[in-house]
Amino acid sequence: MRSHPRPALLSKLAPIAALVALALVGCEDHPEDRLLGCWSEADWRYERVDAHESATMGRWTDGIRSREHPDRRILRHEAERWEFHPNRELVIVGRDGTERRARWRLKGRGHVMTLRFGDTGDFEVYNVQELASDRLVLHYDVGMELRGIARLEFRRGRDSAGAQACSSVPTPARRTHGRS
Amino acid sequence: MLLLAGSNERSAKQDYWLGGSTAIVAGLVNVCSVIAFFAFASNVTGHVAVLTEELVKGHWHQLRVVGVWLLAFLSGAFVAHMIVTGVAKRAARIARGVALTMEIAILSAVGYYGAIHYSETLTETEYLVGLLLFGMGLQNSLVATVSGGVVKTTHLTGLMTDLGMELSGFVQGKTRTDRSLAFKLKLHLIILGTYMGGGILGGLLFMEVGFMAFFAGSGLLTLILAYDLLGERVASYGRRGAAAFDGSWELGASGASASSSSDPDRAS
Repeated sequence: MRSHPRPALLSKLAPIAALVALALVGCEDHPEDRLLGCWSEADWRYERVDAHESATMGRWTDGIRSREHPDRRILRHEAERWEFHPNRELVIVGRDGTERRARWRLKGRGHVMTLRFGDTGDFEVYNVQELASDRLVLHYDVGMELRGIARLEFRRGRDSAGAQACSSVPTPARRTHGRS
Repeated sequence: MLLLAGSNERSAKQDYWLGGSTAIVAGLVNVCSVIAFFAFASNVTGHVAVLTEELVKGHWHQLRVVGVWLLAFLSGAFVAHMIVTGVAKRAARIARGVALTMEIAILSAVGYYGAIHYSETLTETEYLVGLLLFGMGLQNSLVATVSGGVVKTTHLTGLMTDLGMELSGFVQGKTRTDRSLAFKLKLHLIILGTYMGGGILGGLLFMEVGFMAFFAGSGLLTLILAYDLLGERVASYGRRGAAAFDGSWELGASGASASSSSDPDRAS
């Protein structure tokens, strides 16, 4: 039985059509929408740290300090709560209730988060490793001098005190796209 | 000397100038894009790798974004080739000018929008990176088409591969006898050097003037376009003037003809 040849145009356009289909696949919500709301820090640890240095790292659990600027803390860690507001403001609430404010942005394909702190002018860049509806994992490259990556894991509203305090933060469903 | 002359009329010098000038733009745009958007504007190999990574991880939004970016680059290459090869021969120069004008418009638009309107939302970032990828696909396809595939200014993986082979030939002394090999080695070194120079320039400019740095890219392309459209005419007037002065008009005309003949150095 003779097989009919495929239409030439269809065979030529097939790779392009496949790419278009791939590009349009999925209808997941936007990463910026998913990020909005309150996240409580659940876990953090260093990854890719030399074994002999890991012991000394324990002394630095109140924050990582740059060797070039030992007086300046470059990454805070105090069991914080991070509140992402639609106007692109991030409020970091410490365990003791202290607040720091920063402007948050997602860049690239949504895989990079930048924070610019208003009080100190610090600029921090995080890799967004995972951004699910209830789990957020960030990597912070602490630099060559420490040879490590800080891994921060957040859960949405797991902390009871945090959940209560976060009630004023708009949830993704109530979000209105704010420009700043 | 037309930088965008057709492949069978080109000289090695034209390829050096075309490759060098457009590689500066490619490097500048790529570095500016990384600084501004944390995304490469021409690293298609990397984007394909990221596409597969996002597919494996099930990150559908990122998969869609990278897929559209790849399509944008593909579309740019498609459009440039269609414009350059799909028109009558007598309008070839205009067609090449149109493709280059499109890229100038894209870089200017990104520079203008970034400097005036950009509020750093992820959606804006995704569209602007897509636009830059379209522009880089356009540029790469344009220079590759007019040079007969000899010049590719955003394809550094292939360039490094070629360079490695050519350096091997150089070490073995083959460049002394093989003019084509010597031409390619010089061309690829020029492209690599100017690409890096463009990247450094782009980084420094972006740190100083932000998104206005993209206007440096569009400005350089405008110079190439102006030279291509007007430079030959000016040179022609100069030759006519010289010929009229010494009464040898035909000699001037034949000289012009000889200068546009194909270069044996380019023959592979």
